[in-house]
Amino acid sequence: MKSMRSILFLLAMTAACGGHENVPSSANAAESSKTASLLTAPLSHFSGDPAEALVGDTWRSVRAREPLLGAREIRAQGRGSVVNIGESRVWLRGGAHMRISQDAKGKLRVSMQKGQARVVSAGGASLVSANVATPLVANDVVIRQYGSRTAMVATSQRPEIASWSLELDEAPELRGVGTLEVEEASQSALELRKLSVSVSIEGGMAVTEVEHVFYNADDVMREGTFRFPAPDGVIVTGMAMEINGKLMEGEFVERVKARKVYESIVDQMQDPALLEWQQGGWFKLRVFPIEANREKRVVLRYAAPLTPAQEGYEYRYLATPPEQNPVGHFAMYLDGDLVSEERNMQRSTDVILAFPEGAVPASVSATVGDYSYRAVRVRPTMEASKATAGAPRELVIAMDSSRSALENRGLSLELVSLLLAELGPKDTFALFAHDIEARSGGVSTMVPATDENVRAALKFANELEFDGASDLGATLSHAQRLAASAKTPQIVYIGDGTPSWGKTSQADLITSAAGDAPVHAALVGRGASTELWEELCGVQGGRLLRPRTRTQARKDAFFLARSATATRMQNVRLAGSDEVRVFPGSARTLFAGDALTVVVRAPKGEMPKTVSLTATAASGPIEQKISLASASEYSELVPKQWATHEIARLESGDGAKEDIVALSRDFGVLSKHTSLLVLESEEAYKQHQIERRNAKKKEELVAQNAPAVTGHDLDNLGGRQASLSPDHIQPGDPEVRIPAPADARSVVLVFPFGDTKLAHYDAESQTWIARFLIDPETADGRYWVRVTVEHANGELEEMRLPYTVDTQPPSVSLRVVKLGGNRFRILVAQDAVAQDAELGRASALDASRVEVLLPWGQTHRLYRKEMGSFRKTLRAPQAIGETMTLRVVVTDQALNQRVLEVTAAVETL
Amino acid sequence: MPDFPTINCSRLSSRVLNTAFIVAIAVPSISSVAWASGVHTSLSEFDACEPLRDGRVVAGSGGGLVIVDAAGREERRLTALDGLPGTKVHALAVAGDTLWVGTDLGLAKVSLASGHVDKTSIVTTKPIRDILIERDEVVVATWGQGLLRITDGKAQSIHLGATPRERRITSVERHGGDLWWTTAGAGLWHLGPDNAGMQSLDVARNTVLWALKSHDGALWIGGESGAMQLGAQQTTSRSIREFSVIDSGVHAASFGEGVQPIGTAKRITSPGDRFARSVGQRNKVACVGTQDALWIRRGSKWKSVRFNESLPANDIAAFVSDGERSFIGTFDQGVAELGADGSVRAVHKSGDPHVNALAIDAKSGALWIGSSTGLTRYHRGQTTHFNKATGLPSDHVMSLAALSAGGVLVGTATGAARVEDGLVHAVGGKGRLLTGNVWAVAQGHDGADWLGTTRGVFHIRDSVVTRYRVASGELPDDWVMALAVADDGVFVGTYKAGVIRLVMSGDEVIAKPLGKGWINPSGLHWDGTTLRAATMYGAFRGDGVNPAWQSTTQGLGRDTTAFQPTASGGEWIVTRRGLERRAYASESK
Repeated sequence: MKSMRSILFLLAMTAACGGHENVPSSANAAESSKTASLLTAPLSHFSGDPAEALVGDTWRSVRAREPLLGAREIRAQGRGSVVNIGESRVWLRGGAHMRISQDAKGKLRVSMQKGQARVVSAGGASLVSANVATPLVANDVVIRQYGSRTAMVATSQRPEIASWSLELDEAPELRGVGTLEVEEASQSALELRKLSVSVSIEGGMAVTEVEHVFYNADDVMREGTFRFPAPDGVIVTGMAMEINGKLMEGEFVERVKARKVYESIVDQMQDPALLEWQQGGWFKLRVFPIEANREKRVVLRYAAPLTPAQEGYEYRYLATPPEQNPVGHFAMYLDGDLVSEERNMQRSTDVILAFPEGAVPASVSATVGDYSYRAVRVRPTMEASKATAGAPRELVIAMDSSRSALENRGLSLELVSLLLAELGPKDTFALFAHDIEARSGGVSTMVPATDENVRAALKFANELEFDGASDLGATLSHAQRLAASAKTPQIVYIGDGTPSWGKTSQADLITSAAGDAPVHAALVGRGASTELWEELCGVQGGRLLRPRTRTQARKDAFFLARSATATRMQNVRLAGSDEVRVFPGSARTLFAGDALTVVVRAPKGEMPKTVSLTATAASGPIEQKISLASASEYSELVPKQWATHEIARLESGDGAKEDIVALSRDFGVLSKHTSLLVLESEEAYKQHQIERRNAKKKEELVAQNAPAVTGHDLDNLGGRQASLSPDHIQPGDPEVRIPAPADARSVVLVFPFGDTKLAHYDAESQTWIARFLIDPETADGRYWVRVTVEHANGELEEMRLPYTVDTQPPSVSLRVVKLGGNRFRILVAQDAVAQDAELGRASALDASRVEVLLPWGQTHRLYRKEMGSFRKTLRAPQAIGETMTLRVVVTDQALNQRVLEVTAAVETL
Repeated sequence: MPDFPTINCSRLSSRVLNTAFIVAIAVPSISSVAWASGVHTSLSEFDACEPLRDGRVVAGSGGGLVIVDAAGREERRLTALDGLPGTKVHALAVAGDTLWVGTDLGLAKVSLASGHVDKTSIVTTKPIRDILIERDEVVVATWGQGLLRITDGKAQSIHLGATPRERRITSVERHGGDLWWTTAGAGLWHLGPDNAGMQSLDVARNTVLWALKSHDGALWIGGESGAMQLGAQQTTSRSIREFSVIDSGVHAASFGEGVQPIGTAKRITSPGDRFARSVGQRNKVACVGTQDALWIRRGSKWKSVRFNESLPANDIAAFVSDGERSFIGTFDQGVAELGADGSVRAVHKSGDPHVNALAIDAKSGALWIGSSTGLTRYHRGQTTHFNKATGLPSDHVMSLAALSAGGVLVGTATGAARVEDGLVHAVGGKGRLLTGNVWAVAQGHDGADWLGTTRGVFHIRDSVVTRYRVASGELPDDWVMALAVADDGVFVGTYKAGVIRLVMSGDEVIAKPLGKGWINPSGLHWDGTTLRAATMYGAFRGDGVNPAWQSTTQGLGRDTTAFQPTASGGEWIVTRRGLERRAYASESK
């Protein structure tokens, strides 16, 4: 389906004209070249992907570490580029375009033409917008330009919005792309022929489906291991694999049982696949068999939170091809709209979809069985921080040196090093290691972060022996004592976070951590109790971080070094009850720009109007009411969000494994106690007594639960059940069928052409029906119907239903192949054209019928072999010549027809 | 492919249409006759209402502009036939004795004294959603064309907008010296007094904002997510369509909660009428326009206006008349019978309101109703229902034709059937014909069945099936919407490739193209001398022989769903904006 989200995407790009800015905007932001003086500071491309530089009147490509003599403008490509300008540095995000000059005093002047940049200036700099030069609000800022609008934010206020810039100094991480490694053979990854990513937005979550098509070029059958790096906060909702030409949906099965079934089947040379959690946020999928010289298709579905951005949110997909193994075809769709495409992709492609705040639904809901679920995103009102920006930073670093932290020693040391690198000589720090007692290496009190002190601290950290148990209570108490002498200290705990000595209960540890200094935790390694640390950091005004790579550690260090002055609200808590379960259930700290997603489950019809939020702000305790009563969009993801929280709660406490497995299976989300198992047939599932819940739910979703616009005037849909794929409608009068309950008070539809209609309930189909007219002058494209269901209890539910108007006939190419004797084959292939992408067809190949009139008067319908490909083998009444004249009629799903009168050259097989 | 001569019902641009008019051949016997018109529309979907100084109330509905006198009676109804640019009225603004009327096709001035449209004032635009009268100019909010300033009968763009959402403007208001407007999906905008400093505010983006009201120093904003004051929190959570100051307090018309004073849950109109679309007040008269009614308050009592005859809906999908009785089937409001005296009476109220096709039984006079949930025979208050369970190929009935010996030929989404003497017989045997959707059915003079489908035309006689289609060269488009039987064959109306006459000559068939166009379902009628075509672009007459057509004068709306002669020589023109019965002057005398 083509999607709303191309509309949303466009909106995101254009709607940025409003907002809260401290920089004046103008209809013409172009800086007059006459006002710019020549740049005398040395300019060089420091790192990142190749960029384009305007030198004189010519744009030329420049690579990392090349000087940029005489360049006045730079356009970043790929992930982006880092540029040194004298003592200043500019990070340009992929797609950004910037002009650079100096004023009469030699101070740096930057003028953003497009995109996003981070500027760290030495000696002052100004931003030129609409021919007006404005001093930068700080020495380290992120600037964003959309059309005529310029936005500038100091990174000290919102460190996370600069995190993309930190990646440009590092090699790209493998993200977003799975690899399939075969055993034996060459031990290499298989060729990835196709990578197709489909994204849709539900509330503050992005739902992603990644389809990989691998190819086994070996001449022997293989067993392989597919590994996929998971984004933060992921909820795995499904997996499927192609077996014998059919995409088989996986089922959530208790982990031990799933492994046993998999292994028993591998022994029988059948077709299973098993997806499991791996340490470090990876999924591991075992696949068998991978036939010789054949393709293998693997589909993974997951949901993850959208990332807060400078304005609103963004979804980012960094497709990094496996080393020396380009991706044959990469395509990314946003609700069916093609947003990025590349053939033979050899380097990282960073696709960023921007969504302004208003474009991301603040409230989503669903009702399943006896319960209603609702997720509401709120930004509680915050008092500005009283801390002074630019004040010296005071950091207490507590490094866990117990035996259990040994496994992740490297990452811990990396983080310590990065944290200390962020500090300057005016800042102070203390570093100590702790197992069952504290050890320090010459920096046992707060000392200035001079080169000498930092070197001494790093030497101490590097020479540490990791051994013994971990007394976390003593560690935290010691850190608070060290911090007591500082004015605005921050404590950073680095370790695996698992207490094994002394006080180990959550309550005791929180008591031990109590003090004036905020406590952050950077948990490395497995086994850490996320819930414990969420609560502890939430109470103490800090943030829980989970670095898994050097790049993530760098981002965390960047945040921690700037968090002292950031506006925050700590000990944020939500009030729930046994009946009305509210998440997050533990305390949280919210920093400026953070949103809190409140997920609630209540008995059907008993959703409370508000939820109470209590917190501690700069001025003391506060209480706010969060409204749950606003209009809400339907999202099948909400129950899964709730279940993910509930599973985490059970895992952190005394939750029984059976309960966790049951939740995982009931709600269709992966847990540490379950795996996703794909078997080759329905019989195989029956044989192993595995209920087909996930596949059934998926079928039900398509057939019943999802609202649909049905083209009852269309040949391809007539007489069938409502479908979610009504992508092909010509002007006419389609029907909308909404599967709302019979007792709903009303179902109201607002159409994209401004009309409002009330739907009527049809008892026979148990749906609410409305019709509308698509005017013949309606332009081809994607449109949305907004539906509001008012339930019997007054609760409102909103949906948006897409439909696509398509009046373009399909384009095809034709071949006639002589087979022998008088036999010949006609092959017709549909061409994907640019317009298809504009219409947002995930599959542009929508031809549904091909008929051919032969020279001797017979008419034949060709068989569809696969999408967009038709053929038929026929016998001619006489010998076949070198050409054949045919009349070909191709009809697509919207009943657009293309008629070709062709004289085709006859090919010989 | 032959290049068909053009008829003036093409979907192409107006430039092409003009060309087509030049080549059109007039039908002298008809074009020289003066017309008298009778009009039926539905007074519902009241998007605007305004009390006048003299106690009258004007209201804009889906079926035209209506003026209600001070006694609460319908005084006058104006549609496109009276000179309005369009029949559907979305916005009204009163300036002295002038009423500005915003319709789905543009703007016009109406004299409140005479009740006539000033035809020199008409400005053609995209649908107008709101009108703001300022001292020396009129500003209109259009859905699709941005914000326009109208001066001297010409439209000048104030803000076109960069995206379709920014061009969909729903209301406009002056507040604090600035011009403010709301959009459907692009938030709230304002422009400084010197037309400088245009800004958009991040208010309820990605939803539809419908209304603005400046009152007492505050700007009220209403939309799908409720009402709010600029700079303050949202106060309600329902779809707000319009604001008005009633008894000094701001009231909101909510599509779901009726009309309420802001900040209260008290509804002020009838409890049954919670789908309010408009609200207004002047002096002591207040009005509320809802989905189905117009309410007027004089003093303290609210009363709904009893209009003269009104159709159940304007969107007419099917029409049938046997000379004595005439029925309309609406898109989503059921079936109604039109009396000879102009009365309108709902028929088979409990049936499926989504009507696709109608037929009158040639033997019993029963009414056959085809809908998306089956076929119903309605006779003297008794009904018999047929669907897939009783033998129809599909529940979704798309077309009907009365059989000469009684019963009907039924076209469905997956095939056709005959229903005779209460029994269903699949045409071509059950499941044997792969017809696709059967959009048109007709019985030939020789008793054969003709099916117009999405896969061409099927002719079935004595179990012999012949198919005519694009691949075999007879049709320019396989999607057939209408059939009209002639002595020697059939006229075929296609979705967007016009009309083709298939002439049967022994075993041969001759296909004669009669011009391009978009033919609507059941949109062809042949009376032996005149071929009438109902198209998406109007009603046309031809002689059935030549590829030349004559258009009718502008009707209630362009999209014509049926075009048929009346028994007395006039014509029915049935559209998606209502129904018109045109009679010759000689006939009406």
